Amino acid sequence: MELTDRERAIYEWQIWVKGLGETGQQKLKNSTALVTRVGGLGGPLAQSLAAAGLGKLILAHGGDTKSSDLNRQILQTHDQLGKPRIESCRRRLLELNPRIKIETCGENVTEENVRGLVSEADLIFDCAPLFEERLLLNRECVRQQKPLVDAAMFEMEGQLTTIIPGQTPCLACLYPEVPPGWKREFPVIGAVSATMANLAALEGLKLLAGFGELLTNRMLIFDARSMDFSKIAIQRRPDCPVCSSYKPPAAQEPI
Amino acid sequence: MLQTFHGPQRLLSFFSQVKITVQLLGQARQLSPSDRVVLNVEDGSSVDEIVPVLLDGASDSLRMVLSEGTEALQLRRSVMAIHNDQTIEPATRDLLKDGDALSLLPPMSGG
Repeated sequence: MELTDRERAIYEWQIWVKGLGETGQQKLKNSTALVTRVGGLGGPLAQSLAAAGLGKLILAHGGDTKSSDLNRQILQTHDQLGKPRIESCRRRLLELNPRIKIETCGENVTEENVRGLVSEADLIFDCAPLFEERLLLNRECVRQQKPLVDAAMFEMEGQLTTIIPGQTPCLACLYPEVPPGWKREFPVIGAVSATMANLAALEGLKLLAGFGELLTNRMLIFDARSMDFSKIAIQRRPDCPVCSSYKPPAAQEPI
Repeated sequence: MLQTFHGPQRLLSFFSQVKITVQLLGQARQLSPSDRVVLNVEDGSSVDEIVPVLLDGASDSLRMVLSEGTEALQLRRSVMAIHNDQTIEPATRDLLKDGDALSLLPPMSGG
């Protein structure tokens, strides 16, 4: 779909960004992204994608809004307490940008819904607080050959990498097991989550619009205590339980 | 705060000791009294050989996050060992030199 004159006016200032331009903006309009868990990370991430004019957002997030969500889940509001989080996500994103399409799933990613959710998207953002969900999403992205932007945080630190199945390490290369001792509740300042969310959104916008250099085969590590950003090289694991057996389509045996 | 621990190897091979600064990140940082620990270890030690020195006297929760194994502790597979902006294989010897820094990053999943 072409950009309308109204859309050209709305996105004019970002269309000026070298490499994005009107062609990139049109690619964003014709793209669909899946954001799983739209909380402290996924909320500001979805907000930035919506503001940037992504064509369609698929949001998956279960549960009702709790008081303890409100320090970081910026799409939730006090009047939403006790109501499904996903309703507030949809409402607030459409207030921000009524031109985008939003499809919602009032559940977190599960074995039952992951295949359908991933299949509809061009790009997946992984913002879950549990490793089981992240590894499940990673496995499905490798299976369907969909790019995955993985952002995570803990306390005053964050990390980010972009996974292109077959070309980069997948999440299971980095974490071949569910680490013991990880708790569902963790120390978090909303600004740290939002920082990682917006860095993840930038990766997604670059990937979908086709400009800039992606954070592939590297991991960005952010330390908010010292304001240090560093990048480390990461490698595929030859014995990765998820992606080591993957063969690119051209190399697959004929059926 | 910086702490110095002296590994048991020191008594055996004083002249081949090197100083390695271990920076703890993520959950390990929160579970440790110090962000950075300076260790005296045998020259050529692998990360797996450094881990028992690092965790000598450490809390059970820090041990669980960083290590696996019972008789001989080694780095947990999901923890990244970072040296000179590269991840390194925990079992590989002779990578770390005197004065080097090693970062240990347990995975994080916070959203």
